[in-house]
Amino acid sequence: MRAKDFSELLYDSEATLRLVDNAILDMGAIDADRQSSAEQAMRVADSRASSGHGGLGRADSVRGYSEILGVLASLRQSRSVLENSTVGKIQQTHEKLREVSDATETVDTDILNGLERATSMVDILDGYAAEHSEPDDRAAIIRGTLRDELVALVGHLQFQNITSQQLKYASSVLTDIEARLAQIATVFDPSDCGLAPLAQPAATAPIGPVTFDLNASTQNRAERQAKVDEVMMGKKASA
Amino acid sequence: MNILVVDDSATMRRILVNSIYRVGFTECVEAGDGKEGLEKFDASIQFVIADWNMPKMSGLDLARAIRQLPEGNQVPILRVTVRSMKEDIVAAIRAVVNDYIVKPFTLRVLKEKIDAVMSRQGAAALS
Repeated sequence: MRAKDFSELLYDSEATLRLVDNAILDMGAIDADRQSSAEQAMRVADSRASSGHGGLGRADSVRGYSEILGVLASLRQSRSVLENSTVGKIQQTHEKLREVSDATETVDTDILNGLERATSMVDILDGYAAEHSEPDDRAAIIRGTLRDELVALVGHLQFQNITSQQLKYASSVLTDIEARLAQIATVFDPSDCGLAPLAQPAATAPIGPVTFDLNASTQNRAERQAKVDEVMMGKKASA
Repeated sequence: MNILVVDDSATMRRILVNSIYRVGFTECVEAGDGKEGLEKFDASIQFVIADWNMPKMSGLDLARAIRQLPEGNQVPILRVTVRSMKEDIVAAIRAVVNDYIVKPFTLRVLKEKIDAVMSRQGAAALS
């Protein structure tokens, strides 16, 4: 589903819910604090219609029910669109994000293994040079520079931890949207209309404490550290 | 010096341990979350480097728990985290965290922070 389609669906859903509200208000069957619940409205309207009272004229009732039926048809259509595209695609996207996170972690580990082996080799070269009393300062400088480069590369691999947190955050947003869409789509029980129930959100591992942070970023490292240092100094000084 | 490194990311732990060895320390104990970190904390630990967001027990709760222990009252705790909002830093200070490093960190910053914390601890011990 394209973003535009999704916006239109949300707009249509909102419009249909407003129509439900208006139809129910017109019927005068619900008190003010119950207007927000379309399901309650339907039950009260049904009960009043079956018991034969409620103060509405027959023409008003027919018009009200007719509008509600129209709204229901629209909601069923929206539910079908959600089921066929949005929820499925959100689940696919969720899986893709997990796949990317796992793949970067695997590659990160492989690179780390290689860098550790390479650093060990530089250490071996240092030991070899010391054993043989090689007076070549230039070689020692090159080994030192090479080691520094390898250590810096190890440090750069922190990107995986940070991007993984960013992906987990994006995934959590998708999970939330998925659950909300499922709620919207089941406001009216689809089985009442002879439709298949909406696909349940994909089973995910139990969520414990949040282990990612919305503010995880690879950007502006120095500025963020400087800001932290400033706050730490200020707070400690005032403590 | 024996340093306890606590982070739920195995990659991050390896990077931290690599960096710690590189700046001249020789002993590290690793833990994958705050609870494990607390279990591994004992009188031999002279410095703690911990992440914030972790399962089972957060880095902040770990710091508070360590401070409750007789052998953890004075041990330096360095927070290494992606969190850099002011309220996060204030919470860390309240948990009596000694200093704070923002991820991604550089080797230079890690060394500076460890040295600074050790220096302040040494000065406090002498005073």
